Amino acid sequence: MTNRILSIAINTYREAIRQKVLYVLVVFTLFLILASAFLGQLTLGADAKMIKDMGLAAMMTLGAFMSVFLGIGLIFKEIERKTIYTILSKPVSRAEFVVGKFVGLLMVVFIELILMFVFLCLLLVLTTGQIDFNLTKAVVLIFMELSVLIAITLVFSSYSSSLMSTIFCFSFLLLGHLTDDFADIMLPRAAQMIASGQATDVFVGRTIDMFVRGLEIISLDHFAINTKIVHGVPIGWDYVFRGIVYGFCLQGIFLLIAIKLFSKKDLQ
Amino acid sequence: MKQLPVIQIKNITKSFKTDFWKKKVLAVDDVSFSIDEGNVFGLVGHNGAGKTTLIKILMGLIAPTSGEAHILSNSCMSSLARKDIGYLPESAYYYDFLRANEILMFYAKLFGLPRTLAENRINELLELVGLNHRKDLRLRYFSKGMLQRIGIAQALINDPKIVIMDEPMSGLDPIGRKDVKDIIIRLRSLGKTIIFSSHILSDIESLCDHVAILVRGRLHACGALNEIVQPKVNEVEVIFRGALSGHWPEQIKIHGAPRTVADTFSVTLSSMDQLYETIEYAKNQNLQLLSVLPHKETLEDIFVDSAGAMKRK
Repeated sequence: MTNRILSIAINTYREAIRQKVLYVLVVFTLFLILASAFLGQLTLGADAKMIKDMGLAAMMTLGAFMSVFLGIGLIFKEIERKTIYTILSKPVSRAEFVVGKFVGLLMVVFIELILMFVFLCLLLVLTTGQIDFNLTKAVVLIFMELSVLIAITLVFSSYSSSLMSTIFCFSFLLLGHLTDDFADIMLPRAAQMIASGQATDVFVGRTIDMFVRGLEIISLDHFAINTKIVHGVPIGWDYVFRGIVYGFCLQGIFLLIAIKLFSKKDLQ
Repeated sequence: MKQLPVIQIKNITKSFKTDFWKKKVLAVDDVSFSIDEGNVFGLVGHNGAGKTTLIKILMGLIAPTSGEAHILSNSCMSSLARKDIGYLPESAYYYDFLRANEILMFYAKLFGLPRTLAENRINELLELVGLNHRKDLRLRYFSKGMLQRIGIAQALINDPKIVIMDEPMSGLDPIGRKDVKDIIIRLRSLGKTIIFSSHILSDIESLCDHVAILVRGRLHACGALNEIVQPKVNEVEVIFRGALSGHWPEQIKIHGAPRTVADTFSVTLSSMDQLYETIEYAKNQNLQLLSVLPHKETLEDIFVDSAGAMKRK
């Protein structure tokens, strides 16, 4: 089982790294990080912050684009090009196929993040003479967030077209980062409605409360520690560890949904 | 001793929607048959008859709406059933960034073959399909015929007991078709069970010992080819050189009138019974006998009749 997953993962990785658009994105991001060093010169004593902030933001943005644009094609393209017939006609289960595809793209994103991180550290050493090891925490959580994003792209890729999948994935990313703000606005209002005592208000208030708390389960803000790290707010490894566990849980849920959807799909 | 069926298809029906707003289409309608070990089984049908759908159901790529299919006693929906099968899809596509030997190694790994065994098997198969001199070439530079050969090689990577091929000769030139036929003959000599679909009836007739005829998703006939296609001679065409003086003798029954082309003429006898009488008559008339062509029933006749009968229904 592991061998089959690994074979599919390696094949996915080899296919992904052959895409020219990937190199264009990587070069563009490296250029952005480099540009932050020059922009940092314009700020008074905050050049390191500027480099770190832009570096982490660039890593997250590039990673999100890669995850979505490569991820949506992972299953959909295989069906469209009919390459999937020769794989699923072997003793490969659909679950192994989905997990193999997931691991393959995860490998691409992992290598991209390592490359960016090394570049960011080198730039920091050259400009400020020191490395901030706290950046590792932010990079670990960026990787976890991207792995969740890849898992959700697989859910959409297993049943919808590329365009729809792209829209759904970016909507998920946006929604995932707005849930905390949404909760801050909506939960006090819901509490007020429940406290009013009127039957209709109580019902609406409770519905909003349940909906918002449900949304908080898929909050991606748990992974967003970039700003805090850049501004030196202390973040412990225990927080990062909880983020990793949370990420694995979300990945697991989304992968199970993707497997369930894909298992029922007729490959016409 | 009765052979055990390696494939059993029981009351398989498959319907699907081509579009959300459209009505369901019945692609396969209550089809049942079995295939014995060592058979070369031809699945015959016009385009859209349900051949590919039936094969995809066997491969677990699509689920039947009702009914069940078993391969070597395993349900076709289980990945276990695919351990001893080789499958060549219709107009298959492959990862074109890989080289011939790389793609075969990828498929070998999916079967869990040890590396040394896989390498030996890949060399054997590249030799078999005549691509050993192209093993380091990326698939994107392959012609259609070469891709079909790679398809056959990947279908045989696990040395399967059953080989299922969907239109293996479609789109190939005469040499490519002959090569694929030779491979099928070789697999038959190795005792493999081979199932292949085609609408080229001469291919089916020359290679298969058993056939199933599908018309609009329904099984019209199934069984041994020599049972379905009767070997009896329906009529005989006799061709002579020379000119016919006067009328054709009434006592020798023929279909239609004698046909004259250049310095030859031909007649079609209703049966073999009057052949010797015809030859004797020609000898007396100083006509030179050029050929005697017995017309037997062909798979094409059966198929055309079946399609016509279904259409009338």
